[in-house]
Amino acid sequence: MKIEFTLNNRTISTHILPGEYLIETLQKCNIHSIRRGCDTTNCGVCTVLLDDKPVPSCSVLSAQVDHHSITTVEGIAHETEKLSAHFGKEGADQCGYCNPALALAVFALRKENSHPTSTEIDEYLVGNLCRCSGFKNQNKAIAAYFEEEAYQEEQ
Amino acid sequence: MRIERYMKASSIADAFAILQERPDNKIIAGGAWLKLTDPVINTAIDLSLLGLNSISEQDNEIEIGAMTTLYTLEKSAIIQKMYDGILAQAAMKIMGITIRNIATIGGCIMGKFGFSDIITPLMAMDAILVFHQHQRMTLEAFLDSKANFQDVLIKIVIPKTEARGYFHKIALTSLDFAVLNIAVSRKNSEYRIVFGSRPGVASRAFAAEQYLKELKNVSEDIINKAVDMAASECRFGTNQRGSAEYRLNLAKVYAKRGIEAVTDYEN
Repeated sequence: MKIEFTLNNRTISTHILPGEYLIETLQKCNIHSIRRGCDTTNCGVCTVLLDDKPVPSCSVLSAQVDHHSITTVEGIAHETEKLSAHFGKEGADQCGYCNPALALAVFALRKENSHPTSTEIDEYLVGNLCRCSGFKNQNKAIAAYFEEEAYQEEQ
Repeated sequence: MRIERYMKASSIADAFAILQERPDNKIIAGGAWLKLTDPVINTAIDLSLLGLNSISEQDNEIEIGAMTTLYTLEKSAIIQKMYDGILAQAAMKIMGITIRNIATIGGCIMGKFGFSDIITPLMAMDAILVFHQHQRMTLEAFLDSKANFQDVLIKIVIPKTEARGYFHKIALTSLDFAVLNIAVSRKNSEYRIVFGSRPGVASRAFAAEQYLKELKNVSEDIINKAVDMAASECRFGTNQRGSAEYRLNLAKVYAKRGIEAVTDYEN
């Protein structure tokens, strides 16, 4: 079957199988930032934004995104660079496997809540697992990112 | 899992007609638990074009569209107010936001999943299901039905009322299914005590509810007796998350806290 959707502001028309999952379609579209982890919606490393909401691409059928918008980390490169600078400062990552998904989740959080508390950050990211960092430094880095963004907006 | 055909329904009647064509035609709801269901689906029926994803307040009841996501539920001001917000609390404890953005209330109900955190509070809120063919049916009647239920769930209706509520979920980790969940509600002298993830699908403690209904005031002894009745009335099982004995003990502790909460009882 044929679907059409927006991928990082580009229109994509492609043929898919009825049971094909979004992660497979995006990989065929040369999107390599999405990782396959648990494949059962638990780990969050396959996160993409569907109409600006974070969803697990391992559990969304490609047919479901017909005429919708998908954003991957390639589509928010500028925001990701700013966030990754804070990750570097706080020593918040090691292998980087979960980072693209985490960046997308943070981007989605910012759209909903531009001044989250530390607890709200933790609660929003509960479905994004990281097996290296222990989450503390990630939380600090994300809080610092939000602080800087708020400061920039005030200027 | 294999899907032969995918179809976005243009109307509820359209979805129902395709559902009747073959037993392996299935409504996919949000698709969140699709990998846990049938290995082969002939036609996957998508209801996303039918506008069933909103919550509205009517004169006497709250209507929740079957395709409303769990994240919409937890963020809804209407749902946060009802029964002290037990349905919103239950939704926000389910795994991560990514899955709550796709999982729907209708999918949680139609799966009759034993692990469901959504069915438990809905039962304590006297939820009524509205189907295309079966029309209105209580949630309990639906859960008790043994027949293969090839119908389209349109919405979930909750009678508007002043009521108190309590919900608690016990899980080994925040991403895991519950070892046990419990909802207690009180509407005037009517009580509901519901245990879910027993690990079977949620069930009510009718005798304990009736016992509390017949009493004008609660006391420590009355609550303890109601808790014992509730715990002995519901059956608890063993799986990899916990033993039947562990669940029984949890049920007693949290049923007591629930009854105390909805009666504002302080020892």
